Amino acid sequence: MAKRLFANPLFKFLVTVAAPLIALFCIYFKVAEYYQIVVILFMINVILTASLNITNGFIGIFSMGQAGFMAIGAYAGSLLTMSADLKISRIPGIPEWLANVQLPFIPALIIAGMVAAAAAVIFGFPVLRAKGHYLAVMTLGMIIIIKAILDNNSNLTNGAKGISGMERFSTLPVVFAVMIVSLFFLYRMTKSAFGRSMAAIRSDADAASSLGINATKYRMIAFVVSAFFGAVGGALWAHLQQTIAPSLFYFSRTFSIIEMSVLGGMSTLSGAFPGAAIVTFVPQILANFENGFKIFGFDVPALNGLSAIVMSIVFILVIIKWRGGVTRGSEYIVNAMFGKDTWTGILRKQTYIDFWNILCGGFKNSIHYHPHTIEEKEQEKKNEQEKNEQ
Amino acid sequence: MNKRKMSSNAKSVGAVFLAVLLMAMALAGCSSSSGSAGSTADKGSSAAAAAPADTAGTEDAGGDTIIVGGLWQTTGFMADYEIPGSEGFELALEEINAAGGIDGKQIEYVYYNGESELDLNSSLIAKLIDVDGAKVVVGLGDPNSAIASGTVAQGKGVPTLATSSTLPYTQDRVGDTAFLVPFGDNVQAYAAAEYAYSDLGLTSVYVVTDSTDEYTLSLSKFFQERFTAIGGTVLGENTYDDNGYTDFSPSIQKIKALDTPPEALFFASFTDQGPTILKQFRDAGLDQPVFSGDGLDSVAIAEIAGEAANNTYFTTHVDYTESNAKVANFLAAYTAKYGEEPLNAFAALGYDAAYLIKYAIEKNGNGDYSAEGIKNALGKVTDFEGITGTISYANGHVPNKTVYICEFKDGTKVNLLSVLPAAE
Repeated sequence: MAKRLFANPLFKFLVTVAAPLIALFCIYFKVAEYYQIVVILFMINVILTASLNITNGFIGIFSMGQAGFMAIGAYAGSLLTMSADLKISRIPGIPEWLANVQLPFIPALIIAGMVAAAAAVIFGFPVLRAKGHYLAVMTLGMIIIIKAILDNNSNLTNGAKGISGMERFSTLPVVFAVMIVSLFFLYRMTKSAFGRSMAAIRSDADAASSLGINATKYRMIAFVVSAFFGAVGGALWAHLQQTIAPSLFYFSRTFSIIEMSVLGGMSTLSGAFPGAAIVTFVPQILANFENGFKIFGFDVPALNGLSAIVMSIVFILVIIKWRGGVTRGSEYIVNAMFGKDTWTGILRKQTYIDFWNILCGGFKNSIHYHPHTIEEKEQEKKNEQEKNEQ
Repeated sequence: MNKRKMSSNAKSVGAVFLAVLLMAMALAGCSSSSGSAGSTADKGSSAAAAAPADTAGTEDAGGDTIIVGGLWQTTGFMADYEIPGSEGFELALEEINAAGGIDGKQIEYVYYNGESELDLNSSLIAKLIDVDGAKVVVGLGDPNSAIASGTVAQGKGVPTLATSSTLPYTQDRVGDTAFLVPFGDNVQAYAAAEYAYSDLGLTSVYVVTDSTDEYTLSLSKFFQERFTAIGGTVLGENTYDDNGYTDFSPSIQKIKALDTPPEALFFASFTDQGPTILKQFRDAGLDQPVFSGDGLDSVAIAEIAGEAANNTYFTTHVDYTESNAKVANFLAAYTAKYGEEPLNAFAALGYDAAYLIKYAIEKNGNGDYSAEGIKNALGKVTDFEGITGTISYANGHVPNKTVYICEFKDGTKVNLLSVLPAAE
């Protein structure tokens, strides 16, 4: 029954489109801002994780450099949205051409993404020559270089002091829209011929080359696309927190994104959702318990570091038991969200009939069905007899 | 494809996604009111419904508690500063409540661990204000987190008291709800410069600066500014990258290449660089007096560096050896409650933060216990006497405050004097 239910387009629509939209609506209009902030962070993390999955999962380049592209996006995006006066007062020595540029938020996001894409091309030439562990370490080197550049060009970036004062453009509707558009783009990319080529390269680059797939070129494209969306995530983040500094985009940030990617399942785009959800929501929930709580009347004392310990245990368990992450290679969520099957399916009457039948069938066949009235008991007896006769 | 595998995959994926969705909706729907004095949080029913954001700022003369929020980094890189800070704060809250509270109202304390992560800080402060109803929030961690969370609080009109950040631009960056309990880096660097030039008669200095953090950059900049303004000469500056183990030979070489050696050295460094930089410089034969800020305030540096730490002077927030009844009582109470002496000055800053709130509300509050009222009351403080000295917000929310100057001698720290900088 479950299989049929999950395949039903209406079910897919309800679970991946309708329910989240309703939840977001409630969160935006009805509850305290705290919940909004957490959900916005979640959606930004989804974008960052999905962008990392393109390189780490789809094409098989294990990159640890996503924080670097996030940094580029945060800085480029902020420098493009801040007014000239603000930039001149906050960044002493800023060149005039940079001070005078000011764009609306969405164009700034796109250009920030392109700046990161350009950086990815430049870094890609040396980095993508390597493979496996060497490549991973080179991407770490990339983060160090980017931080050093940001720290030491204070006339452009205000150095280690960072920049604050950019406007809070990352509201719930805006971030949601950007997330949907980004995921849709990545979804189409992975479902295209390009996506299939990426899978081929991941399985066996040499075999793929022998079939005429230019592995180097495709790796570069994947790296650039990943950088673009990593930067978009960074720019969104900057305009939520309204303060950025080079130290915020370093090892712990990049490992956090990798954690989300691995937990959710790095070979799928869908993995971005559970991965980002665990890493964003679990520490928030555990924050309530770190300072001691009551359970069944017993006082549990403050457990500093509980959040970190639990996250570490979750991470270890997932790696041991669920190698492929929570989604284990299944693209169910993203397919359900964007797939043609869902959107054409809800327009067909048969879908609704099937849905109803599945639910009713499910109830009838469920173990917990106890006949209550005398009529039902007799009916049950008759059904049993018929079954035995067959 | 194997049909069975597809089913179990789909099932698990669907189940997890549903679970996550439900978790998200549960987050949205239910509210956790973890308000209760002390450290046990009562996970009862959602009694206090998700408070609409605007109750934080409205006039509130009734009610018999004042809800105070704490956002302390008890794990992560700020833990060494904020664990003592939170302990000092909680000790003070206990004392205040035992003595009758503020204007007879008991303080209800809610706090969370920001884990030294900016994302957690900027969201948990919203939780403290919106969900738990805090009217003032204390702690806030490093300057970046303090600004991010301060900005959130500013948007809600709730005052924040940072106890670990010494960023002089805090009020400019955040707004009129942001207050600093410690002095700004400008104040402490000025005091160091004046002590070196006017008190010790040293007329030239070479500066070595950690370029990877706002704190060290500010410290260095303000020291040089004041030193040259009062007549000294800065012979040069070299920056370094703090990457754990730093080799200071580039700076050492540059100093040795100068025509006339500097009479003093200024290091804008963090605590963990202390023993390294002192040892390397002394081993290279550079014995001039060294000056620094509160980053070097740690007895461990003197213990580890031994003789190399001699002739080093730095500014800090408190003098625990001061013969002062308040300080003595604090030390006794702290040791009694936590079983050991305070680790550093930040315990005293946390302690003073609580009494500062009480002082401000009782003296300037006019019975207005709303967030706005508390903010106004704090802004009017001009002569609070805490164990970390005198605090005044007359010149802005980064206080004009007593600076203590210390020296490392024979493996320990010696307090020399305190200065209250003139209001500028």
